[in-house]
Amino acid sequence: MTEPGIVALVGDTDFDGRSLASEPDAAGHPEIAVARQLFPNADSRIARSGADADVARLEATGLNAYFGQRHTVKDVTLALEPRSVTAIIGPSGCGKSTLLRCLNRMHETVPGARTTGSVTLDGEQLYGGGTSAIAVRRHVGMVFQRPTPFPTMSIRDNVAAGLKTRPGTPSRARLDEIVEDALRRAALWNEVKDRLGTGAIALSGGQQQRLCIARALATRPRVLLLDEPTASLDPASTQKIEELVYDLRSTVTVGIVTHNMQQAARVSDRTAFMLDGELIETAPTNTLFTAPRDPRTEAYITGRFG
Amino acid sequence: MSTTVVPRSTRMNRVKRRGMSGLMVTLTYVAAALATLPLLFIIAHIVKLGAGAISVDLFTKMPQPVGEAGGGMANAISGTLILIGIAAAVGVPIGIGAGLYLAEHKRTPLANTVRFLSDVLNGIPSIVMGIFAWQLLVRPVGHFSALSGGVALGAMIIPLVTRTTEEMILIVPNSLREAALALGYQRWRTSLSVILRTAMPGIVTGALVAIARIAGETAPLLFTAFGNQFWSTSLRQPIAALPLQIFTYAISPYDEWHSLAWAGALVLIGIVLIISIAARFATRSRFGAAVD
Repeated sequence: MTEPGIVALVGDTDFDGRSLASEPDAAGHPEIAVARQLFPNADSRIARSGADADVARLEATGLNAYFGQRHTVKDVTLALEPRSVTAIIGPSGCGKSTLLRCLNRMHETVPGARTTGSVTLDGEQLYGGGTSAIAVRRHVGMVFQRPTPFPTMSIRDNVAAGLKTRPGTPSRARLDEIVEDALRRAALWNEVKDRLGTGAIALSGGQQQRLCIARALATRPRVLLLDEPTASLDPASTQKIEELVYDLRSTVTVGIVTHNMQQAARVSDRTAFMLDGELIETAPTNTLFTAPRDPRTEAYITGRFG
Repeated sequence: MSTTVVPRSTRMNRVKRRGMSGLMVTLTYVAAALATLPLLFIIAHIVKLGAGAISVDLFTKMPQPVGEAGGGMANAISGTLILIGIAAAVGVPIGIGAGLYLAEHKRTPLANTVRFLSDVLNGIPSIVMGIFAWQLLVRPVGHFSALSGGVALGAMIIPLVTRTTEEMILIVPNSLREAALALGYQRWRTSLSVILRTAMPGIVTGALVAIARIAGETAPLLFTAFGNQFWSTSLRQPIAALPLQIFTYAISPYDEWHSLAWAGALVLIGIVLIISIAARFATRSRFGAAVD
């Protein structure tokens, strides 16, 4: 079966800056312009929600993930709400990273891995229905535990890397705008604006991680998934990333996996607690940390295990 | 607190340890010197005997008949460069492609077979490579050719480039592959524009080392390129090559040919040296940092 919305997703790829700039009503509202690019057939949606059009709701229902015989995510139902940061916490090996990787179909890149259940982005099925994993990943970006700048590319080319894989390469001037915008959103612009042509690996670890966030943001994903993004960083860099994540919520739906409960408390609006592959409890972050419903959640957040 | 008294035996042990350490360090220095000695000896010897015959004529003039003064090896030098070019054009792309395949399909039965056969190919004597190229490209057309010599050398490059390509790709961290996939890269594009590109400096180095290895091969050329006393750049005709020319001159009874052979050897070493130095520079990637 073919879903009309997915067809629009796959066909989103025309990033032509000149036509963008020439639309008068989009000039002051880049979100609208981008949303229009993303959903050429979805005028009603843009009219309805205005600038929120690129803020999306990602919902997993009855999701199971396996590595061969090992069942690592068990019947999880979880929504990443628009305009918010959802944290997923739990002890090591509880399946939280695997859950995150199911949400942009990265799980299936591991040999022997498979997934059942459904994931939807604003109601559109991400699994099945002729949707390609490539199209899904273009709308659901991901940043990993360790910074992964492409070592052969300059800072500028790293940020633009995701755009170059799609048909319809933007003009040079438009690309410069996109790169600057992404670096600003990732709070890295001021540190690198004078050396965009130099190698990305010369940056510090924290800068590299923000570069990876900029690279993910440059393609204007509707959802950004962060898999323990500060696990390999020092405290100062961690703080910068946390502030950044906190600010990102206004423009992109964020899901963050962390085993640092303080971090979850600092950056997220909602928190989900996982244990042994099961989602035990999801609640507003304040509620989860002050009045958890489930005794297992309480045991974990009070430090009795994990 | 009382001062610590070091027992006599411990002091003795320290003396023994230091002595042993000094001895071992000396031995490693000796081993390192012995490892470089043959090269230095060969270069010194060839320079001593060949430098006298090095002249502009050597690079610009054609070989002269015995008894006539002067003459050079212009055809052999250009022939060797042409043969190296054919070998690289044949061997490097196949080797890189095969190496990419092996790295992307690590443990499949076909990959294991290819890997094994590639190692066997690497061990095949170079004269057998010559017979192979003769059977394939000389016998059907009925005459020797530069092309057949280049293919024989190219076949020798393939397993070397395959192996280095595979190894260089395998040290590219998997996290880079994941990062590219997560950005919406197709699998083929991830392999080409991220993985292969990241591994490229190492692959280029490996290819240049392989080319330097075959630049001086003589046996595969004996009945393929065959050698040529005249100027030829045609791929379909027999072509001169430095190793063949050196061989011809060295086994001749004439003194002036002997000194030309030494000069040719010096030029050949020079070519290999230049390729090796190029390989060292290729290792430096664009942004001054190696992989990982």
